Amino acid sequence: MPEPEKKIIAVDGTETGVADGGDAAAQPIVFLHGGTPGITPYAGGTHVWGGVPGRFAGRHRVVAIDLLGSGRTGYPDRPALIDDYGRHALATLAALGVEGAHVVGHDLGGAVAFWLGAKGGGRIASLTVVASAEPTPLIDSLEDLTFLNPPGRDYDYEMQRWAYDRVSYCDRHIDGALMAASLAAAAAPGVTKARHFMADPAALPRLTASIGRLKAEMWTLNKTTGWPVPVQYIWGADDPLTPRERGFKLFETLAASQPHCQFHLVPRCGSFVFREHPQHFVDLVDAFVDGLAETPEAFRYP
Amino acid sequence: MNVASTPRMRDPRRIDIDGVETTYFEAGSGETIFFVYGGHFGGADAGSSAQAWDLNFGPLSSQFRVVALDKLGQGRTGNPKRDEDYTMAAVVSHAAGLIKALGLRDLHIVGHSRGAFAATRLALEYPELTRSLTMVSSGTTSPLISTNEIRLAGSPHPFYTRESARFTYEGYCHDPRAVSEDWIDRSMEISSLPRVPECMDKMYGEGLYFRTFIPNLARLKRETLQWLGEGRLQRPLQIFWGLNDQTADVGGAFELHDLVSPHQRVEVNIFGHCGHFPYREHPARFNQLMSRFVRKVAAQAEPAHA
Repeated sequence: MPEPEKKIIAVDGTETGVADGGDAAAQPIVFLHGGTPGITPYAGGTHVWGGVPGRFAGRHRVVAIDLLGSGRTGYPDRPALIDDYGRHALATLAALGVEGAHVVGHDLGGAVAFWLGAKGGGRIASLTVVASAEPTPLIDSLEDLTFLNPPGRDYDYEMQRWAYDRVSYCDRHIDGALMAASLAAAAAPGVTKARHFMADPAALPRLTASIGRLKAEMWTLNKTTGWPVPVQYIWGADDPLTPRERGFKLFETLAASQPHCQFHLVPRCGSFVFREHPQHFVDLVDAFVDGLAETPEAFRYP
Repeated sequence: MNVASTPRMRDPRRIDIDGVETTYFEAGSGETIFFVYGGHFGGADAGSSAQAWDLNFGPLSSQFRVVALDKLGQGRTGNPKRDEDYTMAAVVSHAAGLIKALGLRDLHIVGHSRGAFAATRLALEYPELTRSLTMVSSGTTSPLISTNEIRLAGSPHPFYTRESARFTYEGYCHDPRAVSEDWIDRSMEISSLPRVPECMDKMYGEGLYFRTFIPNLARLKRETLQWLGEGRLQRPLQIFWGLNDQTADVGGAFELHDLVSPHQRVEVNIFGHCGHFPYREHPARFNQLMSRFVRKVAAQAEPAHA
């Protein structure tokens, strides 16, 4: 089976980096990386998934997307809102002809995954949300100091390595390939543009507000027609950025209306579950996807 | 591992363990999973037996050797021989006796509810037989208060009727559709055995439940929580729980995680839309997680499994 191939495609006029591979005829798994462009002190993109997407290439079509302002993808001419991220990801899936996908989202990518779950219709089969603070309901949580005082400057090696280490249980996964790709991403035009726009102090509150509107829509669906797709939540037991209580509250909230959902704590693990414990991560995604497929009619609880 | 199309548990096997006629089930080959279901002698679920695992036994037997026993004084296994054996300690010794008699080792022990307490004691007392431990929905093992007696109170049906069995299992499960007629059938087969009223008479007529069973369990539980907190469990631990369990609060999963995780890897899997029986309420996803956990732990022991 072909390893995911990195390429750049045009999506509604935006240059978009994707990795696409695996069994083109099989059910797709889509990966949405984390990091808020211009805010988080590392430069995210498809590269943060490391070898994990390739592990699914034997049994699935595998697609990883550089979100707006990350990797090799461009950025709008104003600070992006969550709807911009969501629409761009959905348009990318449409451009690639991806239907019925299991979507895996980390950190901000988890919020994009929920946006797709709410508005993506038939293109989404399930969500796997990994260490993602943005969509959790605890608006009165403590000020987050994880990235308060980064060392280094301008997304240099020191700053980015520090950022990855801050949110990890163990730094062993921070390898040369991750650092080289993150340094390259930091210099890409889309990322540079995102940093420019997000430097405005008013930009982040507007993004946060847009995520607040997405959450209001999630809670409304939960109370009315029900959260539409199965969700699993994967949390590192030692994640300093997104404590387990936040993920568990999100799980508990949407479980009220969605019968197929599960929450996992991964031991000795920070925010990058798929890098620190790739085998465990692949097992959890496989078990969820295969378990949903094998669930007999009598246990579907429609 | 299709749940619906796999054969049910058949062919109970019989063996004498310290004078007690003991029933167990066995199938498949490879890494050995040893199942210990919940409940204790007497009690609202007097009909519980090894067949509680029948949605898991068949599917997992395609990859593993699976063994499930009817515990001492439950299912088709005989009652304790002596009054002082109406204890959890005796249940654990009896299970260990079966494991040794069958020559089993390197076990992946899976226990549910009170059975998870017995499974935990097996892993702590017989580390040489244990490769991993899986606790499922165990208020008995967690430091929290179990609420079975509150949730299951007030059954309008006489004991040992289909209606009372259904009342009990629907009280345990989040969605009544999980309580199949088949499950009730097997419960009725057990609760109609002549052994059951004898056992109930010992426990409640003669008062062994409050005189012997509960004090022994309380002492063992104190010791077990102390041992877990000291790091005596030195095998991978996996915890399953149902978010909506009305008899053992889901907080117990985190309490147990926090107790053991300073010393030992603990994986936590919690299912939504799920009460006290994750392995029956969501069997396909339970089996998937179970098989991958066993394969992963086995690969750590023997790289050939990787």
